[in-house]
Amino acid sequence: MNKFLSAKQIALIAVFCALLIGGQVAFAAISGIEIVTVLFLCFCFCFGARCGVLCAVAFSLLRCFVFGFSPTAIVLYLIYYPLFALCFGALGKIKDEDFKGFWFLGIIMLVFCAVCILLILFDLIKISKIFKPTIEAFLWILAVLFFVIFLLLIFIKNKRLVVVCAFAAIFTICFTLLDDFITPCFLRYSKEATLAYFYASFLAMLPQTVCSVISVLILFPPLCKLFKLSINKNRE
Amino acid sequence: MSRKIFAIASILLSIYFCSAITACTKDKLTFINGADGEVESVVFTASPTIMPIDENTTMEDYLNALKETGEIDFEGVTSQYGFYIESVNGKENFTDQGGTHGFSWAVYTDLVELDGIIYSSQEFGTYLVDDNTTLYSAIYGVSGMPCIEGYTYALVYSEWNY
Repeated sequence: MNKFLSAKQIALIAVFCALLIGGQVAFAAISGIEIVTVLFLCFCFCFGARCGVLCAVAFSLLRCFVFGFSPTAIVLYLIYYPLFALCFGALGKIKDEDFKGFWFLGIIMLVFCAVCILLILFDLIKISKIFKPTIEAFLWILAVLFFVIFLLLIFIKNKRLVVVCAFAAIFTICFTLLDDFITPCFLRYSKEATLAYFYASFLAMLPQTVCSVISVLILFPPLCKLFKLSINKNRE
Repeated sequence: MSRKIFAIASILLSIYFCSAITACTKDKLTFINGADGEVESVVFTASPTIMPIDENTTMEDYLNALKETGEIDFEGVTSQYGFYIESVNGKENFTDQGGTHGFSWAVYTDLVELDGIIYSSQEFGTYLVDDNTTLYSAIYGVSGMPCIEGYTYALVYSEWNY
């Protein structure tokens, strides 16, 4: 691997960073829909971890000019997106036949499914009663999605798409959990305030997780094809 | 005898009118001005005289009912977290050029906890309406805040800094 990036790679990272910011702005007003996860995932998968990490840092800082300079958001994005890039950049290096080694993800998906059902049955999310029906609906949708991913991991041969989907769901959940840790620490919330903030965060976490699973299932194959086409054209 | 009856009737009527005035004041919005003379906050106590209140009534529903009666005018946008208020009676949210300081309309209430669910907390901020009433910064916006009869709610033009 070359020590330095080529001018083409730098331009690619810059253009993609702009695309991510544009995508985030375009869908900012639409409840529960975000395009950044699937776009950035495909970028890191196809172009590698190094391009991904540089794009992640640029995106995390430049988006502040649009959405404002919030210290907690800056820290959150600077931790989350480079890790995201490293993970999916590494996944992009794995051969298709080696994805069957990720059978343990099936167990994780089954656990997530069980957790969603338990949260509904025992009414464990102490959130505003106005949002309760919405939260319950999203938990049911997520439980079904996690169970479907579990079944796909067991039964289908080509596990690449399903493994990527599972990791996208895990990362999206971790994004909110990381914010539930960073913001209360930064603002020095008490235990009760932290718990209230944690419950309120389900409003963002659940629709974002549903969105990332569905968007990756639908958009990952065509986007990867498109990116690999441009890589091959560049090599020619 | 007739003087006694007249005196008793006068006292009863006075009591009745005083109660009526108090009830009207409770139902109405209270606009509190800041040091600059502009509206700093809008305070109300939820009452079924404005609109029927049930378990699904939100602060947004109540504010819309008040808007229909002409007592308040506000604008906002619907976001993924619900309705976000951008201006009240023409006074708009403000963000400085650097994006690190500004003013926005924030929700305060004395509904702290209900059925084990926390709706506001003094840790997030407090607002003193008068000597007897302190409101706490709400965890939810107007769309997620249940409107319960007898509780006090406010939109306060609050400063924020990063």
